[in-house]
Amino acid sequence: MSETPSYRGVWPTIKRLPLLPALLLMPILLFGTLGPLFYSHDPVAMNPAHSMQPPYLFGGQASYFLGTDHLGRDVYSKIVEGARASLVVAVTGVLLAGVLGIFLGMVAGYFGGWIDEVIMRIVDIQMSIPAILLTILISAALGGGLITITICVALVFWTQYARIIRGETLSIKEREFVLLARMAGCGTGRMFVRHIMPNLVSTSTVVATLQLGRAIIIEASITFLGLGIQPPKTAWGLMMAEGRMYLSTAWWLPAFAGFAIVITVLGANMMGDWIRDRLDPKLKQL
Amino acid sequence: MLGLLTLIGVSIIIFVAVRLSGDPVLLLVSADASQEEIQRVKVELGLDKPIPIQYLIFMKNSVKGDFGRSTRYHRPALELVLNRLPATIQLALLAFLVSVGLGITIGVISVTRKGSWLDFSGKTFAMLGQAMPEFWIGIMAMLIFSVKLGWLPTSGRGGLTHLILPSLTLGWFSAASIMRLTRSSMLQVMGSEYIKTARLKGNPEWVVVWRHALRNALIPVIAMGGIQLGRLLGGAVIVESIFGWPGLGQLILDGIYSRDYSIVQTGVFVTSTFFILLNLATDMTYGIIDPRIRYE
Amino acid sequence: MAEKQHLLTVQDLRTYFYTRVGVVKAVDGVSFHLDAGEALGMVGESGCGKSVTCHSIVRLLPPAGSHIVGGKILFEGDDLVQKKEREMKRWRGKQIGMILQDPLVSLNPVHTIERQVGEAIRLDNRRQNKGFIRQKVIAMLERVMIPSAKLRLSQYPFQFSGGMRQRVLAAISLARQPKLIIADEPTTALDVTIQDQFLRLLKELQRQYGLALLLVTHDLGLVAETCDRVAVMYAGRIVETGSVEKVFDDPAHPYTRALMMALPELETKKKRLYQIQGEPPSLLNPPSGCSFSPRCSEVMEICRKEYPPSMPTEAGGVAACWLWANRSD
Repeated sequence: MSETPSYRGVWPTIKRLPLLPALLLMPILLFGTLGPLFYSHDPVAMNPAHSMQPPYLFGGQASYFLGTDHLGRDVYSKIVEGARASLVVAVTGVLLAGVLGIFLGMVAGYFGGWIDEVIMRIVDIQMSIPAILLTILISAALGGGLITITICVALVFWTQYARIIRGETLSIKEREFVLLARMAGCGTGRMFVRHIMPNLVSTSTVVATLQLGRAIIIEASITFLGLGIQPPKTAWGLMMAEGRMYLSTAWWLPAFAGFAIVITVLGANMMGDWIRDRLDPKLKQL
Repeated sequence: MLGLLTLIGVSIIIFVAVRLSGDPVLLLVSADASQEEIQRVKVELGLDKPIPIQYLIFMKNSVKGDFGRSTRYHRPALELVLNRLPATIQLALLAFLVSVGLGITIGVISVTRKGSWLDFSGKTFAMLGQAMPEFWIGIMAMLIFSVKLGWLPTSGRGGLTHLILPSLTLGWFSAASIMRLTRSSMLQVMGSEYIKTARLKGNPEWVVVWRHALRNALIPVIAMGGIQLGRLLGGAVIVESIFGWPGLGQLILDGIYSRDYSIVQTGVFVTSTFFILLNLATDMTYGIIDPRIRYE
Repeated sequence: MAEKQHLLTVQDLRTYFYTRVGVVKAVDGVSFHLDAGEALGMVGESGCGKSVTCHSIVRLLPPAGSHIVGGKILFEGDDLVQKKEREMKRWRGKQIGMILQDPLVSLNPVHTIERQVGEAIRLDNRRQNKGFIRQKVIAMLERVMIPSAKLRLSQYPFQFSGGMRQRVLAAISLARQPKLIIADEPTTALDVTIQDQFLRLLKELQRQYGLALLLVTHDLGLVAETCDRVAVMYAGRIVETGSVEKVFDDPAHPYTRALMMALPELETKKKRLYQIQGEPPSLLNPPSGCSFSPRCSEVMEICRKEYPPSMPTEAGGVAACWLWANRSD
């Protein structure tokens, strides 16, 4: 005979809150916005006398908790400082991608016809170039730096927005209230703002949060290759690129920066999943 | 055909981007070269003409198979690119097999043992896998397996041991994505009525799962497979850079650093062409798996 | 004196669903029996538990949250409730076949018809070659009256009409010549014109194979035409059983009586169809006592307090009603 399962009571309620993702995202949010409050050493100042110190738990000094790099800079402070760059690039990039993608997707879906054809053709063409190669091309074209890499992120991600929003618009377009509005003589601009866009909010939010993690990965990857954020600015990707040369002697140089990236992306992904499950579970295929 | 149009579009984007990235001439002449010297090199490279004309010349030549010469290696770009292509294909293919094999297997196990620790590990693997960028996995793997344990070599192309780390690094992220999709797709399929019918015939469980459920569940996974191939081709650049794998990705990267237009153009173009062809193949696979599409 | 063993005996079956909002007692003490060659019709409103009973017999309940918490399902003496999942494949298909409700989604969309029917046949003919199986598949398809069977072998379900798909399902369930066929609302998803055809086919096949048939439906007319006995279900329990003739003629339970009154008649010209007042009870919080009491026109005090026992009726079955219990005392 089958067993009677027991109830879990409080646990399901707690599970519903995105506690873990929030916890994982806390560092980048705090560090990114309030950075200098969190570190004691200047991340940029070089201090050759203290270079290549191992982390505290591996025989180093307490004040350099995660060790120092080849130029004597405190690894922990650099991680805190580097959070800002990644945060800014990811958030701004995804927002810009959203603006462009939502607008074009909406236009394509609503008007259809040749406008739709052209826009979707452009999307197809761009999606035929692997994201990283595209970013490499663009950053080579515009030179490195924060602004460039933000533009790169925006250009990489707008296509996914456009496709999804176009689909959503197609189905919204057929709904009754839209047909009624058109019969009442509603102009196009007003139609977009008052009727269509409000219905796109939940889908857009889901897509945005799901893309944040990927955006951070792309930014870090490009910076790692030397084509993104440039020194002397501090960035996690740079720390890994620099640290790579010292892999056998000072493993802590790339390791902690990498951990920071992974934890942040993990938090962003989990948060994205949670938001998606609540707002629009149909998008599970992302 | 649509594919051709896409190719042309791709080539335009690449062309414009590369042209914008700065003047290669200044890198090729010595620091104190005269204006005439600079002008001479410019004409030699055909860079004195306006961009649209340059593009047309490029298109005309490319149809003949002439993609320009590498300014760094002084050999035809196409030849250099095609030389390096097999290495990248080998890497990407292996990574793809890893990601598909690992992803689908773990996904199915996760579903059939839903709720158990196997399921939990599978889901954790997927979450972590999607959070770890290729370069991190590469460096960490190198740290653990090459530096600390000394089991595997750190770079270069050679025998089987040289292939393991790079392909696993490249395929990890894709494996996680495929696993997640397989799992959710399988869950949906397993609740279908026709699965009940399959059970009602008296089939053992493994037949129900592998012969009935999986075939249907894989349909969306194939679509994702196509997208993953694109990611793999892009990610190859990073993995090749870390592991010193002599492939196309590294060639393109070097081309960017040294402002070698032809190499970059040709390299990205060839990669995209490859990608487009792979997508076409994916579309055809759809037809084989799902008969409803065949008859439309 | 020991009773003759029935082919299928269900004793006090209880199947509960455990949900976030509480326990749903979908089947709460169902007992009936079925013999070879007999056709039993199980009727009731939507949600009364007929479908869950069928799924419980073949142990095909959805894995998450539903459990058989009590009772026995004796098939030729074996208690199926006690069997482990991997043992069940001995009974499914070979001993008990089931035709599901919606032919649209009950067939695998990516397998050909030949493969789907052939799979069932192959389970009993493992060593035979493809040609042998194919012949048997064609024979089976012809048996269920599918025209041009040979040509249809390589077709897919989406190329068939609803009625034909349902016949394929019938072919699949009969392919291994089971002793019992459960048909879960087999005609609900079909056009009215096809319903009749299909049921006649089912009846004919039952006769040919000497099967026991458990027909689940909400359509009393179908039961009248096809079945020998009937079991009326309400809110997870059986309220009356008996021979079709006698129960339809002179129902013992108030609910059955109300159902009969609600049937539209061609002879008398009624202005309005009779409707049973009230609604079926929530299976989350069933009322105390008889579950029909809130809607019963002959309700008594005791009905609200205690659930009535099942007492034998003249129709050869039982009825669970205090009216009847008092009468037979």
